[in-house]
Amino acid sequence: MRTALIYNFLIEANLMASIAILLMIPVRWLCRRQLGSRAIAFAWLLVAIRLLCPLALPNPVIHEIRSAFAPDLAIRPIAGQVQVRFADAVDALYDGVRLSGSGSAIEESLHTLRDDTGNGMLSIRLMKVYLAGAALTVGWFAISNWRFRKQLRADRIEPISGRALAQYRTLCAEMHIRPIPVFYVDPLPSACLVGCFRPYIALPLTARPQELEHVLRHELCHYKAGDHWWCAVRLACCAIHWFNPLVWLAARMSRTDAELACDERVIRHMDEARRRGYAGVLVLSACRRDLPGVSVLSTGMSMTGRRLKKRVTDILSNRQARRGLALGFVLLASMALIGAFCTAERPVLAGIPADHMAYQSQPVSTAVSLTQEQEQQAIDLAKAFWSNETLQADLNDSLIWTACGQGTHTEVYANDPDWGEALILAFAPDGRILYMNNRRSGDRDALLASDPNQELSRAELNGVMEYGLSVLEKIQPGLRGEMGEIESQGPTVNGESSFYRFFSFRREGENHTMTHVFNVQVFPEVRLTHYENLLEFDEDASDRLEPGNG
Amino acid sequence: MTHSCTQAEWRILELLWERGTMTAGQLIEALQAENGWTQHAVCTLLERLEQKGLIALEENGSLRRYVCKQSRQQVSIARWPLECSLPQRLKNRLPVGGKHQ
Repeated sequence: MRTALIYNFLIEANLMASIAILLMIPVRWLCRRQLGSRAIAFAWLLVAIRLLCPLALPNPVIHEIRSAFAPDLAIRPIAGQVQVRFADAVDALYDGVRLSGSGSAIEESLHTLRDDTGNGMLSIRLMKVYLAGAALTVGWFAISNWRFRKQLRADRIEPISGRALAQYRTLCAEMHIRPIPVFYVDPLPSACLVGCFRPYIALPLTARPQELEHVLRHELCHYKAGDHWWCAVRLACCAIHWFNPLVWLAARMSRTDAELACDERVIRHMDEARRRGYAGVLVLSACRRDLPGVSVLSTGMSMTGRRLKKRVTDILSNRQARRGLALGFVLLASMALIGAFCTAERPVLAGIPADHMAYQSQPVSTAVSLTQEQEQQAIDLAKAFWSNETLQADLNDSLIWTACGQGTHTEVYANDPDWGEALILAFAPDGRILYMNNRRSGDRDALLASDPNQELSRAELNGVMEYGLSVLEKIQPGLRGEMGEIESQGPTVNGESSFYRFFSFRREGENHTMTHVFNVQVFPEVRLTHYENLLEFDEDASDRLEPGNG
Repeated sequence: MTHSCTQAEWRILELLWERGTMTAGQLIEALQAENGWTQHAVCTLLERLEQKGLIALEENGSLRRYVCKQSRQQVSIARWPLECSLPQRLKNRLPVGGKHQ
């Protein structure tokens, strides 16, 4: 169950972020001059937020996206659909291989894959692979950073002093920044801002005094913009989504854009001569090789090759971004971010949405995780039912299906070697077990739930009744007005469904009674299943229809 | 056998190759004028060069002078040890001609 939540987050975040990253590539290439690097760097931050936040907002049109008569019952429209479609694809592939007679080895492998997909073993294995990959990535980052910091510490010469220090303090005052430590380091190819919590600037000892102002201004711009924290965010994205090459590509591109954005800030108020001087410093810095890659928590002033050429050209030309366009782009990107989080169903309030039509299978779902107590309850129920104390139930591989607004249908597989069982349990959002069924024997009779109180609350019951009446009103306008006081009976559990019966008597005349009876199924989905009216001529008042005899 | 040094250390070695021997004071004065390095920075570099075996301190009466122990051909500027980017590491493994400047 808990793995399902992680899968949902990973699938949805990667899907949405990958689309965003692919869109960002042409935007960077075609619109940089108009938008400016700062707007583009901000857009990368939004992509990172999508990658890191496990948030799912309700999407008001999600039911329209999902087919009303879709046979699959994925609880999450996007992540669940991916999972269900994958299972379908494996099934189809297996059937194709079996029919083509390609070979027993392939058929056997696909058979195993199909079984593992169905019983959840595949998801366990994939989760182990994912966690191992994430741990290796985090380990690599940790070691890279430790080596980098250790090397810098070993190569540290001294903190800046004298004229350089005075120049630095003046610069900090001008930029309204509290000074952070600055150290000369040798060797160091290029200046960099190092660290997150206690950042400092590392300057190469070989930096010439006339270059210092530009170098320090550049690094202070990084510090002021929070780029040292941005490095940590990039590392987190790469660690969590290590399997997605687009995320690594995005990390690299965002690092470049952060440098270009920093250049824009540095040269904003510079005249041409000073811009030339700044560009010269970049070129000289580039001669001394690249700095550490994306795995290290530091900024890096240096770039080489085509990127350097572009950087220098942009600085010298001093083309200003169009502010209105940049602002519009930022607003659009922010709205797209909110949209990228809208992957969940509309929340179900007490009662049923009135626009549900009978016989249109639109499951209203709530994403629910079972607690450990519920999982234990499920195992205990299975053991009691089969009188088998040694029953093993592998609850980690549970699949969550869609359900009605009042319940969750969770499929639990008991890994008993004799049976290969499938046990279906339905949990209400408040943890009550509504329904349990054993699929193996084909016996569709429902078992008694552990909680005899299977009834809906008064508010839920009213909602179900209102739903039924709204549907009836569409079928036969004015029908509701013919009904008097409505009583309810139920729940009645029959096979895999559970329903409530509503009925009203109304004495129409001296000797006849009209009875309206309608059934509303509440599990596995809410829909009107039956309506009839009964006109009885009363010879005697005791002949009136009794509740439950519908 | 080729010895490696940093770019800053190479600057000190260049002065010694040009002038033969120099005292610490002369080195500090020259490098301060040229690069703005402090006395502490120069002394730190001299210490490192001594540890690497590239220079030695000769005592000649009351004067202690630094002298190069290796010729120009035997020393090269090392690449920065932590070039973590994979493309750069792969590039480094390809044969490169000449000294690094």
